Amino acid sequence: MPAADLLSSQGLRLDGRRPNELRRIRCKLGVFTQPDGSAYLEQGNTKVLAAVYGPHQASKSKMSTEAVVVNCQYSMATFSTGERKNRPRGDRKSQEMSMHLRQALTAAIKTEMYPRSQIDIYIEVLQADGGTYCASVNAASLALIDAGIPLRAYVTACSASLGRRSATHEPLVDVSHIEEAADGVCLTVASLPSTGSIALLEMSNRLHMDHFNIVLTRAMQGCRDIEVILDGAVRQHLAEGWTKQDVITI
Amino acid sequence: MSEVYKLIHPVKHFNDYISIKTRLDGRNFDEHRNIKLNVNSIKTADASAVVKCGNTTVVCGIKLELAVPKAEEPDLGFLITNVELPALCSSKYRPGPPSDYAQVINNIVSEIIKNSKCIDLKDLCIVPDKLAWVVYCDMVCIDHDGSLVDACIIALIASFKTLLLPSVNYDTETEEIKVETNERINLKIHGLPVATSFAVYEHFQSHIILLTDPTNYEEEMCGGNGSNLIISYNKGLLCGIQKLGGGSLSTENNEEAIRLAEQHTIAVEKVINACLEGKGTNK
Repeated sequence: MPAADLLSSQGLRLDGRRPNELRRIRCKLGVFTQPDGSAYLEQGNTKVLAAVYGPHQASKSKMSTEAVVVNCQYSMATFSTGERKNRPRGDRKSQEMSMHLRQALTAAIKTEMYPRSQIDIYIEVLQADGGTYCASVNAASLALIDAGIPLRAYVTACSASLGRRSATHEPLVDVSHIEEAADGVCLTVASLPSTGSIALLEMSNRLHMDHFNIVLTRAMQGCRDIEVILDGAVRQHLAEGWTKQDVITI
Repeated sequence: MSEVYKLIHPVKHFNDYISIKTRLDGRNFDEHRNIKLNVNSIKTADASAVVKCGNTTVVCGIKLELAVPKAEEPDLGFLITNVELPALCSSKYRPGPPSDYAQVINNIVSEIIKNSKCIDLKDLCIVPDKLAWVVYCDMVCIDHDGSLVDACIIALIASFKTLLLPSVNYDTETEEIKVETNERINLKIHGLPVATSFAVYEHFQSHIILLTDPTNYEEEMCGGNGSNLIISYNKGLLCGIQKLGGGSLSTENNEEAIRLAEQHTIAVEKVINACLEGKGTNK
């Protein structure tokens, strides 16, 4: 049900944004030297690192002869949340997030190109302020591009909620932590915007069927907007030159 | 071409550089890498710092909690350090429980901090036997390119210097705890511990070479267990020497290492102080 306090009478949200305004996204590719591909992404106050290793030889137990095995690990730093998080990874939420990430990214990677191999994607959340799944997918997408792994399309994720102002219902894009905690509905979509297909869709709380379409459309539009931002970052990174490294091998 | 040579003849490739008294990145044997430091980057942590020594990147976050002091030490608070080497920092580490190397680094860092006596646990006690601060220091390495302990200690000390403890009012009768997050006092730090890592290389079975601030490649060529020699100083007092594998050291090498560590300490102190004045700069 749309919570009445998500949208003020002036049409502003709890953090001062307009309903169709994304949080500021800053991203950088090729930030680390050890992984094959890496990216750092900030979405508002949520800060996420992504590192990609691969494709490399798969472990015997996981090997597949038809396609590459995508292995994701989602980890939150102990200082990333308001309360100290005792287990960075291995708890149920992290395992569920890792699985969702794997599902979204497997849809984007051209898996048939590397049979008997494995691609490892590691996500580290340094600061969590809502939308960590979306930021993780976006960062992983950039890291995969930096690693040179062939993708079918960009995969981006965006969340949307529903706010109520007087009699009208307005969809809100890019849900932050306070809005998540304020008991509103939160629809998360991971999609390949250029093909228009949805890789993953997840919803929490309740939403009336009459309003479902506008919230989904808003989230899909958010995905397309994020793709434009990520694409701009990739092009700029390539224009600047290769990954910046302090070590110069002679 | 040099990449292929590096793969086929790794020892010869390394020896060729050492013979002409230089290293792969063009540094001298006693030169250390550029240090970039930034504080207060993580808003959810009570204090944080990000440090880059060359390519080695460590993020340190400090979280504060309240607890009851131990019965046998009623006037001491708690300081818990933890170093994490996640799989994303290097291809050597697989996801799962902390590797042996991570546990060793953890131990080394906590020993250095404990021996340097830079934090007096008595300062962390609010009401003896009733209430004390627990300072959780978590260092996450996000890019491992050698000299891990150096970077961890710098990040940790920079975070300590920016840590502000909220004032706590404890009513002894009602046992009510009131934390005033607006009034904060600086944590008192005694000195400024700095660690210096070396790789000890045995050049042609006789000549011992000391490489200051080794990169991952140099550490691997000198035994593969990380830095071979770690020397820690706190304001002129030696607070830790650890030697792990690598070539054997003579007394002259030892003295030279101690001298280099002293110089490095002064340089790091300058960086940290410059950063805290300008709140974010690089060397």
